[in-house]
Amino acid sequence: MKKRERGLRITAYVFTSLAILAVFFPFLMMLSYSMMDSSAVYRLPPKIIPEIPKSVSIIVDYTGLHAEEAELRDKILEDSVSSLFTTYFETQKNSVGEVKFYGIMEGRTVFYQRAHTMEIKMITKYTTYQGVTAMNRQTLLYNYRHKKAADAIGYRFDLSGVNEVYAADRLGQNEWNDNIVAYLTDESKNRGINGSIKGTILGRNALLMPENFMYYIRVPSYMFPNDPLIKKLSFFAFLFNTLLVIVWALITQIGLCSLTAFGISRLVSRKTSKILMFYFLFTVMIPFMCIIMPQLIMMQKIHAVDNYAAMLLPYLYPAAFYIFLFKGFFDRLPQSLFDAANIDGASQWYAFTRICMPLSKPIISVIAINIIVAAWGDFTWYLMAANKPELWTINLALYSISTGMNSEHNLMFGLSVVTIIPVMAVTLIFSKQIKESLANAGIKG
Amino acid sequence: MVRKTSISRGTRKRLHLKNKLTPVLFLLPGILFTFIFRYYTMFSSFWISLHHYDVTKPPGEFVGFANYADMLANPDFWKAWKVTFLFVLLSLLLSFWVPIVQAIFLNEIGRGRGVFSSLYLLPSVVPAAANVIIWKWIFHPVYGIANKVVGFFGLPPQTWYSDPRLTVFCIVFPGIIGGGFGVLLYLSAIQGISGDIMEAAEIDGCSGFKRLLYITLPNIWFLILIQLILMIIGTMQILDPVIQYTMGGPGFESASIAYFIYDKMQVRFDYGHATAIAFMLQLVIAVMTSIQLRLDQSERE
Repeated sequence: MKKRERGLRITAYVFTSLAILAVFFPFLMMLSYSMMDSSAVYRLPPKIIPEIPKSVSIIVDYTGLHAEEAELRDKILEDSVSSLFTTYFETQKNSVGEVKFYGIMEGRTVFYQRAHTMEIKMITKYTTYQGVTAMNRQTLLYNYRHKKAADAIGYRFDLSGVNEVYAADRLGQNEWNDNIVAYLTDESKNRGINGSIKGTILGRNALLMPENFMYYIRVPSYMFPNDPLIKKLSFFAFLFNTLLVIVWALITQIGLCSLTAFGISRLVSRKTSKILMFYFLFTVMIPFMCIIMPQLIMMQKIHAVDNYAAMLLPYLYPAAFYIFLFKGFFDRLPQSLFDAANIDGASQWYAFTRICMPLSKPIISVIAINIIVAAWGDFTWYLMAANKPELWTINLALYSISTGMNSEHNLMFGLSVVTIIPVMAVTLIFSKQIKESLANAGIKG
Repeated sequence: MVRKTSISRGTRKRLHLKNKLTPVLFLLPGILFTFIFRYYTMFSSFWISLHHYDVTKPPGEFVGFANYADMLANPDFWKAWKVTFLFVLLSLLLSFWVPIVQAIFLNEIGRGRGVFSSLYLLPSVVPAAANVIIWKWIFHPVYGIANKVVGFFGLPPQTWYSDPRLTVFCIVFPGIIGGGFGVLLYLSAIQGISGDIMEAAEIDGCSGFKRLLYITLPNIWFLILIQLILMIIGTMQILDPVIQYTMGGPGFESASIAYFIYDKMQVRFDYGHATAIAFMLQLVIAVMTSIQLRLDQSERE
């Protein structure tokens, strides 16, 4: 008998461990893909484990270039921006994580610029170099836009020397050296460098993988530069919308449902209570698809379309199921509590807010979890009535960006991961409370 | 359970007379908003379904029940029902039972149950759209690992979401990983089984897997039944995953009845037919829901 129980226990552990692994499998895949560059995501045959990204440094010597400081800086900037973008362009398929550019004069570093390839990609895809397909001096330097790109990336320039130094002993010691020099100086492609290239350094840096996420968070602000809210808050604009909806849903649903349930449970005769419960519970049977069209027409009439009103107003309908749960709970509260309040001459409002609600914490937490999960997942209504980037909730933003924007998959995975991690963290922090509430729901609700 | 006593009813009656307005103030907002957002919209929907809806001068020409007749004669309508039932069937086979099994085994775990149950919570909070992104990628005909897996078993590569035979399967399949709040719901039901029953089982020599099968499972069958009906009601109205994964395609192979309505509404602006189908869906849902409420009631009594 003991033996059988032990066998079961071991099976339970093994099964549960495997099940947890399965549950996390999609998320782990997403995490892994989000650390790849876009070429690695599209690699065949598909690989799941990301490769450690490479770091390319380009060292260019300007000794002997006699010019004023400002002119010298301009010349180096031209070189630097074209080196960064050309190197990225030519090595896209090789998991390069960053490109660094060192400008040297008489043995000391006077200029340093460094960009993560995600940033270079964003600039070529969404901002300064949007639509540029050939990387050469004409396209990159046209209209001095390389200065805009350089400002976006940031750089350091000081004739007396900057702090960044390169590993001189590894200069040119890599298999890519000749190729990269050739890419940068290919005159047939209209490329060239003002200084003289001393060589390149190739390294690997695992820290470049998590750095991806800094750019994933900023992806929306690159994608929608014309939208002030998203440009400023980027991804957090969607988070704000989601939280707004959730908070509003919590306030209206808990407020209206408890108010109604209190009325049904304590203020009317038994017969009226039955009629009212039927009135509310009947709405459970109405499929959302049945009312969505008139609701949309109604909202259009009051101009509540494509704005926050469209998103928030439908939550004024008190979900019948929550009324049902509240009423069940209120029915079971001992009458003696309320009798005492009545003798004191307290109003029903006092009884509701000061006696009933404080006692209802268990049922409120169950309902709150239900509301949060429902509001978090709401989709179709927003898709139909509030489909504008500045109104997107996280769910809708991920859907719309992944379908409409022709974005690359590692961006999508990255955006998903930056959404999921904070939510998971919050869930784990409150897991004890959530579990308690769910246990209450199972027994009482 | 404390029921209202006759004394309390008397007290309530006096209060009632003293202030007839109070219940009205408590109940009015809920009644009003329910009316606006459910009853008015439902009747308005029914009214639209009786018309050849004209967007320029609504509601257009009155046609009686012609829209309903049209739909009943439309093979696409019946196909959408077929697809919907396929969704229900596959959900039952692929995903419905998973949290039950997970909860049963979770209950057998001694140390670390808290951690495991917390981890089970997490899939519930992953936004649906994020799930869609990764599963679409897993099932990608060229870059996905699903084809690698079937290749391992010597099967030819599939096109998954674009394959008329597999598309519904692929939409339902992600549910197979289970987890979520469902596990915790079943777990609390299992823990609610009285200790006496368990002890009696042990004395009778019913232990190990036998105990799971003959004691645990039968004791939570009621919750399973309610969850089953809820799942069926939910899946009959399945819409979001269809929009997110396939937009009903390829052709109309994954167009559930709710998606069929959505398509008529959003793509074809054929509101009359859309609402007519919605009403037929409502009939089916109403029957299912009344069964569920009846069961819920009987559990409570």
